[in-house]
Amino acid sequence: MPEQQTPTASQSSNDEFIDFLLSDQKTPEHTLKQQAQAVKAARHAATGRQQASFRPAAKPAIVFDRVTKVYQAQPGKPALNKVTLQIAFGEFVFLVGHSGSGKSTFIRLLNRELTSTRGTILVGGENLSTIKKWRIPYLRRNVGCVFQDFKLLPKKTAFENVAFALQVIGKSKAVIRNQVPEVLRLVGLGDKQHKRPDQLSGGEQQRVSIARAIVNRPPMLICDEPTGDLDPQTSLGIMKLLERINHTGTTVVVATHDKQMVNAMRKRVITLEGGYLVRDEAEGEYSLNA
Amino acid sequence: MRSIVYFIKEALVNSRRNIGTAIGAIITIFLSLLIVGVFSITSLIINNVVNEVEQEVNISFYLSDNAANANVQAMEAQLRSNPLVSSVTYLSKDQALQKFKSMPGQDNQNFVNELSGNPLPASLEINLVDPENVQQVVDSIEQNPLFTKIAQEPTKPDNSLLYGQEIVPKLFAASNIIRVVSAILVLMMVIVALIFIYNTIRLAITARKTEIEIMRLVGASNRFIRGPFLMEGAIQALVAAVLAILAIQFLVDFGLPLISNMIPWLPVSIAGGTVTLVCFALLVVGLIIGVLGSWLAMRKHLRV
Ligand SMILES: Nc1ncnc2c1ncn2[C@@H]1O[C@H](COP(=O)(O)OP(=O)(O)OP(=O)(O)O)[C@@H](O)[C@H]1O
Ligand SMILES: [Mg+2]
Repeated sequence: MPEQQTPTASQSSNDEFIDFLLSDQKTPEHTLKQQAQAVKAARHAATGRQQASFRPAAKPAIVFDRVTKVYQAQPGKPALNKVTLQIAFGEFVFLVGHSGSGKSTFIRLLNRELTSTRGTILVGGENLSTIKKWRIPYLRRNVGCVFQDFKLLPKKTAFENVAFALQVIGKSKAVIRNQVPEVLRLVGLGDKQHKRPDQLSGGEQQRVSIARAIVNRPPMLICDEPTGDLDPQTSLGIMKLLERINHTGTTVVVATHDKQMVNAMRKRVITLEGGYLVRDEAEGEYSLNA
Repeated sequence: MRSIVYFIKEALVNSRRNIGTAIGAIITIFLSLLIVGVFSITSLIINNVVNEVEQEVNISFYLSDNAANANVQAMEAQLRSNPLVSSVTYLSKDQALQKFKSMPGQDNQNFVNELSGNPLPASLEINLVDPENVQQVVDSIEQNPLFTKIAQEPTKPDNSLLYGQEIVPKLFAASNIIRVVSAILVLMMVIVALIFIYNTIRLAITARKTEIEIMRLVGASNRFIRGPFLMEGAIQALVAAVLAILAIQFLVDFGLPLISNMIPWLPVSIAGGTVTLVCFALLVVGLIIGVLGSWLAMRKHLRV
């Protein structure tokens, strides 16, 4: 196999690290109750989950209750309109819809970048409308996020950008020096560690963003178009990686346009149209009119 | 403790990465502090000069050659007990002549030698606690019953009591105006400097607004984000303040003597301790505005 900087290529050589990365989730800051529940729920999910209905025993990871988001700049047209849904711990969910249908709005509500105009959002049992300001950073450390516009720190290298996510939770230098290169290799950027974002292609920046989101092994991972700028092969590598991460109990929500990918993965698919939730299928397909 | 080290390291790295902005901020803070320092010291020197000039206001009470010793001593004692008077010295006719001889002037020595006898009167030299009360003291002397008995010219009090009658009120009016105006100028310079420094810091931080917001979004606490920025503000302010202090010391050591050589008739000088105090104040003010300014400028970007 030729040297290839795609996750597919590096993934096979990194199986052991992935296992390490994914197994070592019970670090102190993640010994949350929800973490244990997530793993348990994941095991259940693997065996006997049917529709998008939920076992009453498992506390849902994400609850949207008639959530409406109206942007100030567009008062007449809600970006999300009375969206109600639940996502269980350990689920893998695709969020699809046309451009402008509200996917990014949904994602940005989840990490409290935005607040809902009406309705209730619970993440890991925490109400995001009433969450205390000082708790928001802790929420975000537990909800890894891959941003549609990457949101990399422009003056920092790929390594430093990923390291930052570990620094904010107080990881030691040794841990950082050990884990950051590994996770960058995992997304196929082993040789670009010391490049700044402006020296990386769009797809490479996207992968740095993914590496940063997963490096501290959050119990929940939300991704806004994580493969938007990637070629099909690299995209597949990333999706496989997300799936592996999901298999360890991490709840994964992926907003995407990538029809082929969605259809190939056979996961739960939530479809938005003009801010309305129009479809929610357990093993759904990417099916949009027009 | 570990986070302090991290904050300092980050601050230094960030300063290096934004070296242009960092140097710009340092220069702005340096110039602002320098101007404030120069204004403060100038104002203090002017105050010194004004005080010195005022201190020279004293009362010379010329005595009649025939004044009885007992009366003069009684007058002296009464003056000493006046709380407005700080000291009274008796100057005999001989002492007055000696003093006149030693006064800087063309030919006093020869002039005196040509005189027969001593035309100068004895006097009481009266210094005041606060020179502004000179008129009050003069009035009290004139109303004293002893006055007519010992004064050189009892009928013309103004000739017996010399205290710069014409210029003294103008001098005090002028010196008070100078004091108030220089204080206002210093205050204005301080305000201008604060606004200037704050604006510089604000612009530098606004340029990094996205950076701050991204840090928030990946789960950094406000404290963790703020640390390096505050440290950066502190370091820049510290460097700028040290430069300003060096510049001020240089000006005081080399510029001030030059000025006082040019105007030797004015006591242009300032105590070393006062300069140190001003420098210390600049350092503290610089540090506070560096840190507080960064904190204020960051506040609105940390709301995400
Ligand atoms: N900051 C904003 N202010 C006003 N309107 C906004 C803002 N952000 C998004 N919108 C509007 O909200 C709607 C939903 O936007 P959103 O970004 O959620 O769409 P999306 O599904 O992510 O689209 P894409 O697939 O293009 O990323 C759009 O109509 C958009 O114009
Ligand atoms: Mg979007």
